[in-house]
Formats: sequence, C-alpha cells, structure tokens
Amino acid sequence: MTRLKDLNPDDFQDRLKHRGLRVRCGPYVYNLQSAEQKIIDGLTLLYPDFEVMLEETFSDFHIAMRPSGLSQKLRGVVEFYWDGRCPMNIIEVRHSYAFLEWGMNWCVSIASNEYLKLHAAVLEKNNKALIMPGLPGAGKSTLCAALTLSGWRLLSDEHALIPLHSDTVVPLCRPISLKNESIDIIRDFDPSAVLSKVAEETHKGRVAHMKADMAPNSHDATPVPTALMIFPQYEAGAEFSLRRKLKTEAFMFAGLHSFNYKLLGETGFDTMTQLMRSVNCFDLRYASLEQALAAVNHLEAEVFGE
Amino acid sequence: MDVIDTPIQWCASGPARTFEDEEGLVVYFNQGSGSTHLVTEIAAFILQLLAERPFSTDELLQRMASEAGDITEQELRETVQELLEDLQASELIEAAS
Repeated sequence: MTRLKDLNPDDFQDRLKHRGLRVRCGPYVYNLQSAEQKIIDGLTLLYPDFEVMLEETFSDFHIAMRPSGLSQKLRGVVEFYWDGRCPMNIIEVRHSYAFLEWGMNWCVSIASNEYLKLHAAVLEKNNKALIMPGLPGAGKSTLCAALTLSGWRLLSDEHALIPLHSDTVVPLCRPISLKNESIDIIRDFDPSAVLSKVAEETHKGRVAHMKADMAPNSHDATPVPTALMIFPQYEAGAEFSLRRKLKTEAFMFAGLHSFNYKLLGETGFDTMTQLMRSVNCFDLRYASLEQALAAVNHLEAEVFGE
Repeated sequence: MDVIDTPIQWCASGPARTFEDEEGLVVYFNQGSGSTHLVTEIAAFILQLLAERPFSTDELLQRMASEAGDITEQELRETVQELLEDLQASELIEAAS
C-alpha cells in the first residue's frame, strides 16, 4: 500500500495538478485535481497517511478546483468541479482548501445512498462505535476533536455511514473541521494537534481542519458495531447534565436530520430500527470540554463494558 | 328523501410499521406515504385498531373504555377526539369511504 507521504513531491504534485491524485477515504476513492498551493499544502499536512492509488482505478468522486479561465485566475477565485459540473458558487483561492474539505463531504452527502447517512460525528473505542448526532453549533466537532486527541479513533466528523439493514457503521476518517473559537479551544487542549492554516472570513467564519488519523487503524474501513449514541449540546454557562434519552426520540432526531432517511423509505426505517436497538442513547449538556470528555469516557466504560 | 346522518367511520390511511421503546412513545412509519411520526402509546393503539377495521368515534370509545383506567368518560371522549383530529391532520387516518 502506498501512502501519500511515500510519493516523492514531484510525483505528488504532478498527479494532483495533471493526472488526478486518487486518495482512498474509508470506502471511497476521491480523484482530486488542483494546482492551487493552498490545496497542495493542506493535503501535504493533513493527508500524508492516506492511501493513494497509483493506478488509474475507479474513483467514486472526481473533484477539481481550478479557475475556469484567465478572468477567474486574475480575480483569485476558483470553481469547484464535481464530475465536470460546478454545483457551487465561485470560491476565493484563500478559502480553497476549506472548500475542498466541504466539497468532499458534500459529495458523500449528495450521492451515496448505499448507506443510511446520519449527520453525526462517529468515534470508536474497543471496537464499539459512539455516534454523536448534532445540529450545527451543538459542539460535536469540538468534542469529536478532543476525543480523537484523547485516545478515541475517529470514524467520521460528519457522516455516520450505516450499511442498510445493519447495526454497524463504516469508517470514513478525514480531517475534522473546526470553526471559530473551536480552533483555539483545540489548540489549547492539545498544542501538538496538527491544524491547517486558518481560512479567515469564510461564510462560516474562521475555519481550520485538524489531522485526525492518529490511530494505527485509522484507515481500516471494516464496519464497527454500534453501542452508544450521545446528543451533545454545548451551551456557555450551562449546568452540566447527562440524561438517558428515549430511543424513540433519538430515532426521530437522528433519522429526520439524516441526509437520506426519507429517501430510503422503508429501508431507512428498518435500518434505523436495527441501529436504535443496538445503542444506548443519552443527552449531554455541557459548558466545559473537560466535563464532556469525562462524561463520554464514563459512558464508554459503563456501556461498552456491558 | 330524508338524509340519514351516519357517524364517520375512521380507518388508518395505510399499512404501517412501528418502533417502540420501553417508555410511552412509538415511532410510526406510514408505509403508504413514507412519512415517520412520533406518537403516544394511546395514539398507536388507536392506529392499530383502525388498521384492523373502520371504527366510529363512539365505537372507539366503547372499545377503549375498558382500558381507560380511572379517567372519566368525558375525559376519554375529549382525549380521543383530540387525538383523532391530530391523526387526521397528520394524514395517518381518514374517513372510510
């Protein structure tokens, strides 16, 4: 197996700029193409341990980021191409790496319906998976990053990929997206965390991505049995609380905030039912990261030990 | 000719699947529309009855009276009527043709 760091820099850049750099992420192969220095730097920093496919194998997603012509090049903007189409607005070059990461998520959100896809962070310990669904702003990425830096294996920052009619989750480990104050919180939490340069003034504010494949088996795509579902809710000054959540309520929240539950129809219902039977569900409300980490580790010991 | 005002017969709007937890709420999946709803146990019980055959409101009340515990007949009637309105608004039940 060849990892990105095994390529010599010229080969890496030649592939990325011209032939396409095929990178395996969980069950998918992305074919990436760009000559932008921000993207070269981002991939060099955050993807050295990802497998690259040297041959022209099948790629699930073909993504390119480049100016459509001289005018865009002079204006310092690029397009995001997915299978040759431009589904997004033009992107400032200074935001190109952050948008590449978003775009890579977006492809999975839009296209892959061979899984039930929940909008959730997913982590693993002792071969059991913790799923953390959450609305934007709930703090799931920050908590997910802190757990990843504390011995948990990241399975995904964004998608819980549940194979249909199963109670397992398929890993899709990629860098974790951190926004605004989360960036400094994680820097303070672990100064050794590897973070990309901050993209300032994006439509979501300041954005940086954290290298998250620190576990020896980070890129093992074998499905992991699910055991725990936690709904985190960060709130400044909030009183800490950890409460068992009804599985029926958890079903509704996770299912209706998924990317394709409704699209899958009865298959989605069956898969959600099987998943919910395998997990214990909790609501976690917290104001400090340390509290949340202690609570998750406590639940891991209690629930995973059952 | 006299018009005889017959009571509405309610029926479930289609076949359904359910997921139940141990405490009081039921996830109700309408196989016809593909919609998913969170309903109370009593609503799920009514839906189950209406999936078997059409019932009028009075028939439902008679059927449920034996399981109503210590609530009064009036309270049961109000509860069931309210539930029927909600279930109709959610298109989970309809008047039988």
